Amino acid sequence: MKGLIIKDLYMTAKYCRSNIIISFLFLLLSLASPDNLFFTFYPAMLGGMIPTNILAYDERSRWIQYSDTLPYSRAQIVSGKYIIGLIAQGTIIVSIGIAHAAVMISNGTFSTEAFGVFMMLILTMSLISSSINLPFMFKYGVEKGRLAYYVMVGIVCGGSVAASQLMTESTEQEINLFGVLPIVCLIGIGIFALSWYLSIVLYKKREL
Amino acid sequence: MNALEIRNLTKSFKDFRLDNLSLTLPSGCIMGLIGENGAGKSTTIKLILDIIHKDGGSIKILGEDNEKNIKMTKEDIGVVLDEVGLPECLTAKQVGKVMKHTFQNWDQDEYNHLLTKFSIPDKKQFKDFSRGMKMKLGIAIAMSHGAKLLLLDEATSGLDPVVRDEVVEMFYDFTRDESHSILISSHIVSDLEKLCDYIAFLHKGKLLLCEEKDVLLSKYGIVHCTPEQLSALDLKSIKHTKVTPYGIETIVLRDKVPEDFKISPISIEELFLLMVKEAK
Repeated sequence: MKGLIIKDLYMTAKYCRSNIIISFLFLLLSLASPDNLFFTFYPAMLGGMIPTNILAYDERSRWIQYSDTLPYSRAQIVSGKYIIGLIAQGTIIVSIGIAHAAVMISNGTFSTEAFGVFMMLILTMSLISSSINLPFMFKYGVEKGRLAYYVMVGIVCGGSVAASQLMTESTEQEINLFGVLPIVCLIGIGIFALSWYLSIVLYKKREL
Repeated sequence: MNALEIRNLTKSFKDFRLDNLSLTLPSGCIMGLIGENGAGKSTTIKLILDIIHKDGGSIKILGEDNEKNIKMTKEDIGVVLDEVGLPECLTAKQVGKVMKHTFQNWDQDEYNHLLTKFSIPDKKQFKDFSRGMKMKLGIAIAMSHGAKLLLLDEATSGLDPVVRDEVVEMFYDFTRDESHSILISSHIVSDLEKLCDYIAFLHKGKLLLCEEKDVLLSKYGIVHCTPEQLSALDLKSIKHTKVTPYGIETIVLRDKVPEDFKISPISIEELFLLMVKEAK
């Protein structure tokens, strides 16, 4: 499967530069406006879009047919895309975490609990956002699967507004988000794992 | 051992049906799959590779059922599809790095040798290649990992005559090893006539015939004659008759024609056209 990852990394470097640049611009905006969580979630979501972008190029170049003639199982082909997504999202989330922690420390506002809540929210949102797209893309192809993209953007926008309200309310009403969010985070991981499994099952049945 | 055994293969689409296809490719041989566009050549190759799933029948590749452990079997298969299917932004050098981590038996030296032989630039992006160049890169990949079976779908189309001749020669050399075999589909019949040991004619999803090329050529011939001479021929010997301004041209079964008739050799292309007309 290493060959698939290397190929996707080459393609990410070539085709997804704009995702990376925009992600870092939004990261800077999120530092300037920490209360607006959209600026924080959007870069993580863009990272999750990288597998979808690559899949679109794979379809156009007919790589999806060619890769099926190579010694890879369909499960490996699907997993390659999820792993690339994890690498991209992981890099962005870690960058966001480091940048926000540095700002909080320099402001003297750093608290482990608040930072933990913040990171768990980003992780959950980004995992859920990338989970929606891929099963549709693997089942119907990128063109027909585009609808899922719009659903995902809606969820991220709505989710970021809801998360902002939740964080404000939790501060006002002293709700212990630190206790609840690990469960929500686990649900996010579960949804991601389910999406991965579903994509494998659907792609195995697809005729290319 | 047979490189390929297909039995009663069936696959239906909305407007096309591959119907009960059976053929055998012995090891060390080259089989040409000839058919017009839409005859079912690419469908057959996709079914062999399990890219699309069969409705019925069985396929064995190098002795293994194609639905069991196909991943390992593909280590021994080199494939060139009609659209090579490499990512457009990759260079030949990058493709080599990807394939090195794809095939267990990847031979980087052989790959580099073929890139040089085919004059493929290693730093140019795939999207900037001509169709012929793309095909050559596909062939270089297929022949650089110790494959025992090559499945080539229209692999010689788009190549200029000089390179085509070179590639055909390479395929010949490949099958000098008795454990190596090739299934090649094309509608450029002259390439296959030169290259193949076995010929299979496909028409509208049906196998019209599958026979050793030499047997076919010794079985059929062409007689140029007058209407009077034609009437002297046994009707069972006549497969097809064409009236031209210069006389009558008849495709015949050689062993049923009297010795005093002069029989000219027939080409595979003429025979294919005859079979298709008969099938209509």
